[in-house]
Amino acid sequence: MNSTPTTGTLNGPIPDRAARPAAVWAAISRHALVAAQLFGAALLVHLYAIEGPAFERVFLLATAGFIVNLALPMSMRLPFFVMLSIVGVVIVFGVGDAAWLLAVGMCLIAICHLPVPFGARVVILAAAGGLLAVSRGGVIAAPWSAAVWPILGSMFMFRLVLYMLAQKTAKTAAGPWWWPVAYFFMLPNLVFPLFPVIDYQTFRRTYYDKKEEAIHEQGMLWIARGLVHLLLYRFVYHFVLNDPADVIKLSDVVQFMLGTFLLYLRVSGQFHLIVGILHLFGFRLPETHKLYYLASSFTELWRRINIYWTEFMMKAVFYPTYFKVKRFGPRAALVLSTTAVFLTTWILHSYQWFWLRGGFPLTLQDTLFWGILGALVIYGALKELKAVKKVNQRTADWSWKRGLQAAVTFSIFCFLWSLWSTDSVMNWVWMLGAVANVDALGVAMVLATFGVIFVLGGRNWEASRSAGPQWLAVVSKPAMRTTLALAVLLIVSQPVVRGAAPKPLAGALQALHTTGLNAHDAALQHRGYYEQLDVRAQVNAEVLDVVGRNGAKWDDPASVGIIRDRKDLLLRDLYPSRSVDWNGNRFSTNSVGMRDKEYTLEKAPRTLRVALLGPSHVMGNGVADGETFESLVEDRLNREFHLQGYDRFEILNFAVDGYSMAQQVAMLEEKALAYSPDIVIATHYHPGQFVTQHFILKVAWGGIPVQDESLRAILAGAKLDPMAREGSVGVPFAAGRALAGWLGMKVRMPYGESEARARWIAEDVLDWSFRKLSAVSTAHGAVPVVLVLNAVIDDAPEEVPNGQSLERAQLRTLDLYRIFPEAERPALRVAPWDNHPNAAGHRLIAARLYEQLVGVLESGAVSTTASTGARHQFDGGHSR
Amino acid sequence: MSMRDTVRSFILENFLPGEDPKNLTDDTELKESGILDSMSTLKLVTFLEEHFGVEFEAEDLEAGNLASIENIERLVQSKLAAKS
Repeated sequence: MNSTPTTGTLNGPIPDRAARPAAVWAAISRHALVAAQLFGAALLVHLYAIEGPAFERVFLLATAGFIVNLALPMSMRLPFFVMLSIVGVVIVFGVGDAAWLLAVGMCLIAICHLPVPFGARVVILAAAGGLLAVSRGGVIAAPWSAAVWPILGSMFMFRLVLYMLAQKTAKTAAGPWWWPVAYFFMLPNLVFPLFPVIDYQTFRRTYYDKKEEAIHEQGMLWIARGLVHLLLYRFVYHFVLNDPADVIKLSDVVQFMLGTFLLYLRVSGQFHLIVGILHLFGFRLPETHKLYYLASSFTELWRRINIYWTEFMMKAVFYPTYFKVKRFGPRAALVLSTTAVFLTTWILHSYQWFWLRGGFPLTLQDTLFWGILGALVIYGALKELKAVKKVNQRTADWSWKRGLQAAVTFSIFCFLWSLWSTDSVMNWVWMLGAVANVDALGVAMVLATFGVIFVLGGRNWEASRSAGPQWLAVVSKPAMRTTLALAVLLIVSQPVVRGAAPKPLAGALQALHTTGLNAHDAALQHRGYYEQLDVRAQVNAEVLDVVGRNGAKWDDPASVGIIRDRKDLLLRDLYPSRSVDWNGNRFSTNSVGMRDKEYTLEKAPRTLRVALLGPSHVMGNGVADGETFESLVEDRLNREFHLQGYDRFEILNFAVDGYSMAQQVAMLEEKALAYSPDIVIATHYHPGQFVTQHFILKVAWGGIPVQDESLRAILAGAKLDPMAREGSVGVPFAAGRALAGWLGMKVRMPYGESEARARWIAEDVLDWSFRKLSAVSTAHGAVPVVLVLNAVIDDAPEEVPNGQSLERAQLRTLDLYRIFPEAERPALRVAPWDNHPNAAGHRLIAARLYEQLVGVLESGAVSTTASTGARHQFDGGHSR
Repeated sequence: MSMRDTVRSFILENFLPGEDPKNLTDDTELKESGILDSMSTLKLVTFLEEHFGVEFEAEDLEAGNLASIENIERLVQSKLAAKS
């Protein structure tokens, strides 16, 4: 506890002469260790692809900058940090956007220093902010790219308030111009739009105010901790988090609640990295998060989770309100000022959203979350106020009372957090209904979670550090903890370790390397506040667009005018006779809307036709006309392959972006069969069941007529007959709707419930699709075949999903499931941000597909199948 | 009793019961070490106002002013000086 300031390079006493060489060498060795750790951390950032390429560049810049910073005299260090941050702006944004960001930022800083009264400066700042808000809202076009907004917003939306508060007190107003520049353009802020609200006075007051070695070591420890948090987040996101639509029993509810709360590790991980990097340059800022999962009350939780926000609210709202109303007595003043804090927090979360993502969402679950949390904190604060003496947390080692309080606080907060993380309150209520379905695993999970928090939360973590055996004291030193953490992460990152680990552990280790969205989020959208705001790099995506794509414009198919919506089971198809430039490639459709050349409806004699159905990677997103594997295989068959009875091969590409298997079957019936194919190839890929679920929801909510009786029966069985979406209230549970209907309300199923129901029947619909593919093709004399082919993804499951469905339908497969070797994937993708195969990827597919297709054509089984009721036959006799 | 000792006694009695007084020095970091949180800050300020007859403003509660017993004494002294 006794934290007497240690000697410092800037303001501490100089060691005596005799001790100086030893002290110098000790300092040098500590600096060298931090530098080595920093290089190790940079390696880990690269190996795990932490936070994307933009962060890697900034981290490398910070690593190099740290070495230079060490070599500089103290007076040069702050200007150097400013210079480094400005170089970072240019590296991240390029010269054009960087110039705008710096110019706008400098103007805002200049307004803070105008030689006019304080109130006038505030009014001018508000006007400037209003003008920027109008532009951010899209009313006036900004001359800079979209990537600038989140970072500009992040730099100024809160810090300007704190900077002006500091100006008001005038204690820290004076000083060289680089102080405000360093404060607003902090290097890590360039890649982290969600940024701790750093207080300007603290920023200045703590700059190299202690021994520099200790500050750098602390920073390095927090960087290591941040890396651990971010990798744990990945594990939770890819391994623990489940989908609300999958929640059917108590264990699912517990898993969802734990998973969503644990996702907050991303925020604490980012904040540790940010503050850790700033420590490397001397800014000894306070800890951002402190054992928040073990808080023993809601007031304690509020103080420990995002400490900077709490401090910001204390300074900007709580204390000013409290001192204004304290004449009403301490209890009333406490209630009023805490209410003001939560009201402001609630509004400012939407304000933050506006600057980072655009839009101004104020949802019911948002209101409920902040309202309930505010009430709980007020209750806790009143209890603390009533207590004569505060409990000294530094004494007892372990307390069952503290443990119990921590477990209860954690449980209630998980519950609240899950409300904040769902799409709507009704979906949340629907999901909670699964609690009634108690299972042994669920009970065990509740008890285990409660028990773990009880044991860990009951421990006095502050007191325990000073006690314990000698080895523990050594291991607990920041430098040792950092080294150990980095070493473990480095070992775990090695493929040989993954290879040697048992299967479940290997899967978990693989999750640490997986950078994209998880399977569900890739297909649909379900995210909590921080998730949507930043956690899965939604905000960074705009920055990464600029960095990763070098400013290239990247369009989706709908935005270039090649896709149109339909009110039948196809849901969408391609416009006929279109030719556009799409992300640098020519994309053309023929007169019937195939991404292919023209074919006559009537098949020429001695021609073998293949109808190819599939989603985007079959349609050829990201490659030019003539580069698709379909086109390459067709050319090669005609060039190299000879089959008795046939002079020509034609492969007709009916694939459309986003197609599920059900839509492929609909396309077969709608267009492909008219071309008399001999073989029908439909494409199954790893998120096949997810896209089928999406298909069901679109059919149900879109009022799409379903002619097929079997499919209609499946939908009706799940109560997903086409339903009215407008003008009615979403009420969960059939009983709830019946009751509301009885009361005269016009009700409907909430979207979340329909999602869950769609999930339940997605496999049945996929089964139906395979059966229908088989039946319809065979009935028309064509051989049905399923091509199993993914886009160039990293996290595909080991086994082909829905393999049993394929077996049940007795469909022949062309298996290209593992076609893209892990090491070669980056070279086979359209772009780092686009997993579709590029031209090289299509060539690889074409080569392998050719071999397998020839195998099908050569096989007697095909010949036999085709001859049973076929109008066109190929008997398998051939020569190559 | 000096102003520092008065403040120290109040902190020890109210926020650190059972603590060895030797551990609370004049430059012990009160905010960073978690001794002073929002509630204890309010209690401390109320005590200082009542005991020394000074009045605080919201901006006086800036972290640096209450960072240590030494800083608190400096703040109260400046208030007393301004009053007289």
